[in-house]
Amino acid sequence: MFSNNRTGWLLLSPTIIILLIMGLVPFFYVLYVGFFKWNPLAVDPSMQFEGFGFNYRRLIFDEVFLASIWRSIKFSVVTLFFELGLGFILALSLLSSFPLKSFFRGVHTLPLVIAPIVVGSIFKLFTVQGLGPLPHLLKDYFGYTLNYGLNADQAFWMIVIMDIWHWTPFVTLTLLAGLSALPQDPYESAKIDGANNFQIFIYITIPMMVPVLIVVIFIRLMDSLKIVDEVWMLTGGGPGYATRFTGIHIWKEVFEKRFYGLGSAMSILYLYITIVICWLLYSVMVSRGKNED
Amino acid sequence: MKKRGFIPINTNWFDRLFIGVISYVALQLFWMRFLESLISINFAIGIGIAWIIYVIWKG
Amino acid sequence: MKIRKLFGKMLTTLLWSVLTIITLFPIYWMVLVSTRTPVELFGKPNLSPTFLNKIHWKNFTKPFIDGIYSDYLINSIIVATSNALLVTTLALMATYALSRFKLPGSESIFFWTMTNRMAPPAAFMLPLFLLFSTVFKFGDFTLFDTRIGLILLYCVFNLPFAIWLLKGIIDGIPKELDEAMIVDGANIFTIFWKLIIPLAAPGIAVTSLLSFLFAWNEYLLASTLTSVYARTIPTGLSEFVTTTGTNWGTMAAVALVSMIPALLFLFLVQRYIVAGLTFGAVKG
Repeated sequence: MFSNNRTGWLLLSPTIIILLIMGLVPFFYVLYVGFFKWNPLAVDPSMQFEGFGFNYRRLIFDEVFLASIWRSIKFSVVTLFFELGLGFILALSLLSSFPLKSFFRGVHTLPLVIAPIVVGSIFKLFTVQGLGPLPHLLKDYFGYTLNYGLNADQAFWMIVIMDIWHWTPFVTLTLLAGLSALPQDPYESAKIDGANNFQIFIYITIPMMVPVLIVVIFIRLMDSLKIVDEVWMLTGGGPGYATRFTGIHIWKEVFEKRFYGLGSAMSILYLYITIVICWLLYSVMVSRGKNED
Repeated sequence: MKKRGFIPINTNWFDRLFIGVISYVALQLFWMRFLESLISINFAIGIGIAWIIYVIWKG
Repeated sequence: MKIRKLFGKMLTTLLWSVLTIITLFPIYWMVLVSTRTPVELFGKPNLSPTFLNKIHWKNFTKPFIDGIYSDYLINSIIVATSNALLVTTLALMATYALSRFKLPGSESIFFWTMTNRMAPPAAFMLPLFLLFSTVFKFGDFTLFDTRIGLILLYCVFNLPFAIWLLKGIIDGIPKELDEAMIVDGANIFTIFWKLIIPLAAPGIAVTSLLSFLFAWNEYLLASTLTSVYARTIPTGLSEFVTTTGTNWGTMAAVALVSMIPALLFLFLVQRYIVAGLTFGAVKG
């Protein structure tokens, strides 16, 4: 419609420039640094080249790093399982009408807008030994000692519970949006054929919801692989290595030990794993879209 | 532009390069972890580059 | 049948009441902690709403009036507001270009902007830290520990979703309206000012509110890329972790204050938050 495309490129250029400088340049820079041995606190603080695979060879045998990746993946899958289950039930319940529904829904949205770091603080205040009501309640009524500062399993599951508290509303609201957009015809014909509610759910609702479910799984997996802030606030990655997810591990190696070269290689591997998972899910999404056309 | 090879989705050349590089990196890492004590990494590099070219060409 | 339905309704209401209590109870406790003296916090937790009778204001005045947290608050406000304005402006321009011009490779550009959102910030904190403190400098000025650095950086995370949100809206404005204006001799600024901005106003408002919120809430990069002058409220909050013998009351007060924008915007963006977080892949 305009005579030339110059105006278009002019309008697009600030966005492209900012994304290049803040997104692509750091990527290539970290790729570059990852090939060097570099620790500014070492005897020789300069960058030394010791072969392309130097840092990667160390990382691939670094049990702590590999364990942190495994921990992140385990955490993502566990939280996804609970959030999907809970979110689906809640979304289905929101389809019916009941008293105070919009109030309940509004409160349910609240955790979504709270900053992760604040969620960490809220849970710290709520669960820390000697201050929070939760350890007291558990001790008095169930005789259960909650002290995630010492108990590794409790620390991991505390983070899981916090993540469920924070992100289940997202799953609920997304699935609700998907459910309310479903066509009504299949339901009516199924009812005429005499299907019960459970059959309708398994054979009609679930298959029609698959595209929305994939989007939810995609976004939740990406976000929980990124988790740092809440964990940093609540447990700081401890006790021991119990809640040291990949992001936290990189933080500790880079800003406490100043392993710049190794840290870069870690960042690249972390990015690599995210990209692979992301791309696998994305191609599932695309190929499903193709099948439906 | 997009074509169908042995990869079960339609891809353009950039997608195939991407797939090639991703699998190249995976090959290098696994080779370093499990095979490098027996066979030099240079074999992995050779196989990997051949694989990238094959994917871009036939994928 | 009717009794069964009524029973189901009661069960649902009960479920949601329990859920609401679970959601609100930790926040309620934070409010309680923020209004009490350290002595009152000692011992068995007292869950009664004591803030109705007496508020220990010192928890709020100590960080925000006597302490450094007022600076953090100002930094947060400046960074989040400027970022929201910048993101909205740039996204509006970019979206218009992607929507109205037949640019070669524009689909790839669109896809590429989207991938920026998926990257984990933890993988980028080291290169950004090194680039900000050593490479991106102009004379004596480095981007490290400046508000401008943060404002520009947050564009990487906010632009993708802003472009996505606005694209649906601008695609929905008929091209014939633009063409009619061009025939009348209008230039690009007039089109933006008289046509696009008025018609896309609700979408623009949502975009800027969500950008503000995401920038306000960001912690990891703000904490690695600032040290003294440009620290934001979330980084201030994390400072309580490292100090020995945490003053819980003050920490709760700071957390409460940093939650205020979220609470204010909740009612405005509630309907759009799903679309914002899923990139509009699922309409909320």
